[in-house]
Amino acid sequence: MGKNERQTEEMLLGILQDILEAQENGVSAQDYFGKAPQPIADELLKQLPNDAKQMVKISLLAVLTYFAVVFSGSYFVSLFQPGTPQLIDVGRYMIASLVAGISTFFILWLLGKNYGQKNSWKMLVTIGGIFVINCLLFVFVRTPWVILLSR
Amino acid sequence: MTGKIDSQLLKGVLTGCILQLLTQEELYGYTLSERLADNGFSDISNGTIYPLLLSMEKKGWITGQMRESESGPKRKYYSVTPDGQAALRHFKNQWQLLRQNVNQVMGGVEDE
Repeated sequence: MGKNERQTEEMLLGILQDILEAQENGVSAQDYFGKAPQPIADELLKQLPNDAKQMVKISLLAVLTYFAVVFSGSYFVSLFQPGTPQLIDVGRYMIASLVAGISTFFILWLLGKNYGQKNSWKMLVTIGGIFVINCLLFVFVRTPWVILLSR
Repeated sequence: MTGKIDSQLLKGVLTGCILQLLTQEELYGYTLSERLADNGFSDISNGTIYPLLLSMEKKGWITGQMRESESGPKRKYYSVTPDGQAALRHFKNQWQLLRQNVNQVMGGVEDE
């Protein structure tokens, strides 16, 4: 996630071609590459560059999805209460969506940067914290940008 | 023989060796491993050279060019950059110093 796809593919292709050539010369893939591919794969991942454009795309998607879900959710709920005017705090949803998008980008960047490191509980706490902040924002933020739905 | 050497030590030393080999000849992954094997590094798992190559490329010490290989398909041939040459000189100096010191320590013990 978040790594430049083209460069990753190019590198993997190169390795594959080397293994094939080794096999043509009578060396097995295991003998050539070694018996512990996992740590090598981890090292390779550490070296690969992060792809900012892809992360931005994913974060934007997160923002739009979040907003769409939350907005249509409230609208749907309002359908069950006919006759009473419903107030939908659009401002709140927009802010929450934006923060969700930024959080997504931040989390992706964190994951890309810290791949394979052992402090995963620290990361877990950070990500959990971000999640909690997002929820709190959603519950407590009020803005004056409100749409009135009356039925 | 080199299969038993601690991997961290090997990584630093291999980087220097790879730089040296690439100044003598442009190589891609497989041919580089052959050259290393020719020089006694026959027991290493060649998988370890790939992260090293990536890291050296990131540091700007080596650069890759796609060219037709002897066996047919285009491969990425690496060559050393001026920054890489400087890094190689630095490695040679460090290695020289280290070798001197270690020989001295070991030589001293043997003489007794």
